[in-house]
Amino acid sequence: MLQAYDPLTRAERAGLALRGMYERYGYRKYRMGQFEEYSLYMDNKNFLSSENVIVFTDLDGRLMALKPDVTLSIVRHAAKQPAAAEKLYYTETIYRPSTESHTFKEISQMGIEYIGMIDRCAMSEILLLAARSLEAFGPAWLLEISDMRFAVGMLDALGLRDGLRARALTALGQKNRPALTAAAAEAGLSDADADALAALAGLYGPWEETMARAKALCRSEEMTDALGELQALRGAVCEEHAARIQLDFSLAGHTDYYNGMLLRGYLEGLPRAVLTGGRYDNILKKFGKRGGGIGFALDLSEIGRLPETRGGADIDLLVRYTKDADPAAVVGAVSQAADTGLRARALSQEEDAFGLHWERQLLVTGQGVQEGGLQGE
Amino acid sequence: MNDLLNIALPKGRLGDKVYNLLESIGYDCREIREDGRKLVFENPATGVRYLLVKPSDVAIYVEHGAADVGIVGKDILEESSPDLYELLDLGIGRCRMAVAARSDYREDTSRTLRVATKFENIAKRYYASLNRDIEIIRLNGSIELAPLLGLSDVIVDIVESGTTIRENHLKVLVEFMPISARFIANKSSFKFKNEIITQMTEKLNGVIKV
Repeated sequence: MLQAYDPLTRAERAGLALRGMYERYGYRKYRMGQFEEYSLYMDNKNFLSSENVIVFTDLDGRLMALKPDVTLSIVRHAAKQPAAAEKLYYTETIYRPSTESHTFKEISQMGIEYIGMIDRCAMSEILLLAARSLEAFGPAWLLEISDMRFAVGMLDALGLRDGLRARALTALGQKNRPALTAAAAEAGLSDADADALAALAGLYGPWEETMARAKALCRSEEMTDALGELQALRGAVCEEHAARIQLDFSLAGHTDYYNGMLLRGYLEGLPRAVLTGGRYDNILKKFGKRGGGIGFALDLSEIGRLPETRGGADIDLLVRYTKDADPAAVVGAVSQAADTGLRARALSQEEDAFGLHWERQLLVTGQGVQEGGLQGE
Repeated sequence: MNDLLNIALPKGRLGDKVYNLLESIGYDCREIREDGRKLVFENPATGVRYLLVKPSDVAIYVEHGAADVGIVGKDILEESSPDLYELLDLGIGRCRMAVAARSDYREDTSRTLRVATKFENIAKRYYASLNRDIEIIRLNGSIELAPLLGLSDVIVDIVESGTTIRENHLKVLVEFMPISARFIANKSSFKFKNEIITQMTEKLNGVIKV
């Protein structure tokens, strides 16, 4: 018995479920314009992962850009609102250069932004929604949390500045202990300080155990504050999520963009992080808005690569018909199948079915309808 | 292909050293040495699958998740800056990235320097750090020919023993980047296959001589 065809992919189904979830948690849909004025990105290029933006002159002479980022647009919108807190979600297309293909890439993104007074309740909610968003795509997911202030606090405490600091942050993102040790040697750090810096690369794993190791490495009030804030969120993690939420202090995103909690989410079978986010108070400050911002985005283009469970056939029912077949019987057979949720199409027997894959076949002749074999090409 | 740990290994010169290293931590590589044409070798006893690929492609396999981990030269990582974890310096396949020129070469700083290389990004970064204006001539092999034929003033290439350089009547002007093989991991695989990757990292760390 053939099953009714569901035209939605896994990613599309989960995307719809997430829209419902975000709405139920009080997030409003925010639909932004297709283009932004280029000046938005020129003025804020240190917040972008790349300065390369697709630019064009609009018919009224304004220099416009295809959005490389959604958060900047949302913050600019929110900055003009008198309301204290804005809770928004979006599904948008952004355009960024791909480091692999050296061409621009269209990325479909879905995400939420919480803008206003960010307290531990708001952060807990974002953490919970990030976990539940990943969960919507399947059982094998992992969410990593960090706080920028921990790694950055360590670099400050060790006196790593400028080029050396940038190199240490890059090495940290690669969990590259040898490079961290080399940076420590170049900075003339003591053995104990060099060990502490290298230890950051291995500071990841289950919450309690990693938190204990992180506490032993604290060297400043900033680092202690970061751990205190993260620990306050632990209670928001339910038991069933606990094994899938880990701490990773080698996560040290874009230092201009993020300033506190960081999130990275992974789905098994996909090679890159599909969820990225964190706290971005700096952007709010730049737009003259009080308070802070926190949110995350899901890369739906990447998630779209998840394997589908549906079979490889193009159609469920192929209705082949002879020259003398009654057209009403042919259309009737197709309609009957389509009405039960199957994908059906008619094809004259005079035509070649080359390249077409189907599950079941009917043959309509002048004498009537008969079963005509299963699966074929 | 998800049950086994997929390891991308380089074919060619670095290969033998890598197989020795893996065998020293209990990962059998005999079959790889015996069969010259196969590209995929499975070893269910140790839970691994080896993928034999061109050295410059190892990082691509790992970054895209086709391989969970891999062994690759630092030159490739520096050139392509892939987004992955660089877990260990294995200390094998040591060589240097160097600038070389004809043995009678003297630099004319009033002119743009013509640099022939396979390593375009590394060369650009190096000369940018010196504030030197250059013109890159991208070649895919036999780089040593370029200065001899006047195609370029200098070359930026890997130097191991220096024999090729000397035999082609060139001299090394400066060595600016030490290179060795690195153990790399895909960021997502590192999370989902953490136990087996961590075990492998620790075993490798126990035998490497840096």
